[in-house]
Amino acid sequence: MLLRYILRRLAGMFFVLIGVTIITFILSNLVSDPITATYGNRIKPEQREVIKKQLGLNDPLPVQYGRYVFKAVQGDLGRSYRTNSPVLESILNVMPNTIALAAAGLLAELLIGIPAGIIAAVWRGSLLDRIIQGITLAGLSLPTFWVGLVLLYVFAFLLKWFPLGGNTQPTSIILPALTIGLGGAVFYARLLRNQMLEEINSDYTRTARSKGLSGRKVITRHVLRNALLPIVTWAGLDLGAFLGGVVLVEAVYSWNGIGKLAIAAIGNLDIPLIMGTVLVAATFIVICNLFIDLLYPVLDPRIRLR
Amino acid sequence: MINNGKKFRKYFSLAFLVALLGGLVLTACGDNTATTAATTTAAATTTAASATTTSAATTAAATTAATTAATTAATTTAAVAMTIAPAATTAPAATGVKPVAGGTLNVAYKSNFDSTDPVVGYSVQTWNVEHQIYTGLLTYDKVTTLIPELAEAMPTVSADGKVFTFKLRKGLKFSNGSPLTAADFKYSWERIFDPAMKSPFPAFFQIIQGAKEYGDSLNAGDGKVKEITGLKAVDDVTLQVTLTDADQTFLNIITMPEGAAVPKAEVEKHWDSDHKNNDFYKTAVGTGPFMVKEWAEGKGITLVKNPNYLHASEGLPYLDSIFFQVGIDETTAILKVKNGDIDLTGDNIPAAEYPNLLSDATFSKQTKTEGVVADSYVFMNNEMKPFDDVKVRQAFSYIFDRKKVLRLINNRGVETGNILPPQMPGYSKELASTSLHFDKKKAKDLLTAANFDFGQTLTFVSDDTDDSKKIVTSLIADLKDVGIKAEPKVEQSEAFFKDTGKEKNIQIGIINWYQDFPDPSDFIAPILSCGSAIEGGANSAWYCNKDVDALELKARGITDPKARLLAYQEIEKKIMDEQPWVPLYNPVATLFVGQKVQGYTFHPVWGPEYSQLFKTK
Repeated sequence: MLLRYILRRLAGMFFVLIGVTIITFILSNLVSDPITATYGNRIKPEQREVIKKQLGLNDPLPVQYGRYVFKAVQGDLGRSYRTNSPVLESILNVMPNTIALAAAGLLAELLIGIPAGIIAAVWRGSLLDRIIQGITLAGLSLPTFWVGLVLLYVFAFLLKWFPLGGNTQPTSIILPALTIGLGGAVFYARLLRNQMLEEINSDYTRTARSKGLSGRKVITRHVLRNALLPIVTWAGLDLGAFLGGVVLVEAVYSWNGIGKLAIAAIGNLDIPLIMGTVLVAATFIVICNLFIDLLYPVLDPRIRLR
Repeated sequence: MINNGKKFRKYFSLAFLVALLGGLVLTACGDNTATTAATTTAAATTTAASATTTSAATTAAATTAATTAATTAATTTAAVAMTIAPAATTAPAATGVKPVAGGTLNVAYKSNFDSTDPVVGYSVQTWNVEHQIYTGLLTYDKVTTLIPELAEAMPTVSADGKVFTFKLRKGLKFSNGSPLTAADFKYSWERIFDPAMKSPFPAFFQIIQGAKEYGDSLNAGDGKVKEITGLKAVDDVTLQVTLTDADQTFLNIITMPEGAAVPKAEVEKHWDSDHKNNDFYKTAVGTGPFMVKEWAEGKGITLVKNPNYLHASEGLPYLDSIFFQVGIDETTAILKVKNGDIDLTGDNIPAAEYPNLLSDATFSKQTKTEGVVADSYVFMNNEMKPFDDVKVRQAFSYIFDRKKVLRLINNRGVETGNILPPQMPGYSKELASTSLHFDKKKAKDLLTAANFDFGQTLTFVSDDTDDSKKIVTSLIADLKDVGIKAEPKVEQSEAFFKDTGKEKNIQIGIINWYQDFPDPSDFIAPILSCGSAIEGGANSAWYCNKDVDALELKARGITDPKARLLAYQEIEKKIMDEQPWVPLYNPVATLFVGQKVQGYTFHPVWGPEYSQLFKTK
């Protein structure tokens, strides 16, 4: 039963990835001519033809795409047009940095967002609630890039508490994670607050209170556990998205992750690298999505996988 | 609620994917690297007189004045001598501070490097690093005069100017200890034609007899031609090259990184299983002052001292190692130099930061402004109305306010009316005095005399860098002042290159050209000859004059340096009489140098001379 579900989902996943790569492939080839993108106008037309032939660019697009898929399933994502280094190798080199930043960023979001949401729900209507709503709204409105630069300038350059970008030291991760956390915490805070208010006003809570259960036990044992379900969903999707690269934060902090690799690839119209980074990003999102769906019945016994 | 949630999640993930893609594309489109030096072009250059390692002037104006003064001085020497000087080894920096051996230099770049395989890498950034790893038969002295490096003397040339014989020094070794012989040069140049290398350089080397046939045979895969017949390793120390024509630019071409020697045994180890790709760039064994210790994708390249460097006995290089870091944003790089994490910026200083640094008493001394051997110019399509009329083009040369343009780009350039930049051998001061003019009234008179149709609207095209957009706005305002209507059209740089290479496509626009090597032919043949006025070529003005082509062909073969440069000055004057362009300015490179760095010099071809640098503690 479970196995069949998983296999069906994996098959669906495969088709999603095919769809994503086809769209990326078509768009990239419509928008750019790889030879001009790499060499500009400094290369003679005859040499242009030689290189085109070497890269297999004279074949019709469906053939090129088919060749790409055939090699990709064997683990060969091609070579960058610009550096000629293998795409998979480039991505794997930076994956650990991206995983670290994604995990740290998500943790920061939850560490800031969840307590904020609980406080806002439990002490709803109070001054504290309104303050937290204001702060979280500011966190949402201020551009990530700006927040990152300000944190970098104040805490790394002026106060010298942290290294000035890069990912060489253990403390390098704190400011980037904090930047992500401040930007995304508001979703969790608000979502949790709304969910908790819904649960607090529901029948079973009133029943528990009337049975004499203390306020704190009601909140922690019942309300919170139910309110956390949507949080898990969001967190999973967030993680999936982050693993595809947190572009703005990576740019500000010179964090050597997939986001920066993807942006460089797009800027250079380096098609194999674009395809590779998009494929990896999409794969992470669908995998995380699958995990959440598998996790849900564990969290909420009312749910059955179909 | 929960059941609907599942469907919602499915559609949500799909929507999220599309949004992520869209977000990636949009963010990338906003990425304007305004640094002109960061385009896919060849070596950057500088003021020739930067042999004097004085700190930069305190104001931008003073710097520009100093640059122009210095270049005119250097030009006289350079113009007289593409001289064949005896082997002059690079002397220590003339600052008065005694060089200190040791230390690591940290350099910051934003973009990743291209492949550092010399037959592949083709950008300013990559060449600056390649020059530290590889050297060739010849090199340049402090300016643009060729001197022997791995060769023990300049080559002997046959009477017809076609056969060059080089004698290598004895006992040469690669950084991995293996001996270097003439056969290594033959191998290194032949691999340029290997289609698997996807090298952009074969056209440069087709001047060697038999090279074209060799390349064609490899491309066809028929195995008919096994070697370049005009390239002979007579013995271990003698290399004989026979050209198809007497062409003096050949010596410059082999001095570029692609002419460097690489060890065959090492290169052959790095082929992949189906012999389609070669990863030699990762170990990059050469004969330069440094060698590669680590090539970390996305992190950077670490170089260490090469114990087998030709000039190691003179104590060069002073530094133990250099770490070229990538992925560092240009603004962050400035902060990092200020706090000592980085010693030298690789990319240009951001346009907005440049005047700020110059106005600070301390930082202005660390801000270097170096002339670049390049042109930024307005091109007019000689095949399209109204610019098919030379009178209209001549009128246009009076319209544009260069000083206003330079102010808009924070004085990161020097105005010019010539084709050849000041540091280029053959630069003509005489032409400069007559070509640099700005007179709106005269322009109007000339346009009226040419029966210019003031009712038409021109389309003024440029790429999408910040500088280009600002400049076009200024130029269109100048056009309006003389009653000409024009609309701007901004294109993404790759689309822009393609469109300039299409006949009868772009009427008028602005573009840059950076030198490949310091020889005047490099600014004529690729961009102002009939041979380059072809689909996909770089002759954006589609200028073609058969007489000029014939003169240029003759000039290539003149062996007397003085006579040759005079010939090119004639050619330049002939072209400018027909005004295919309105040259605007020569760009500058701007660097921010850390306080601990000593012995800084900037070479017209190679950029910062890292082998001469040292650090104080």
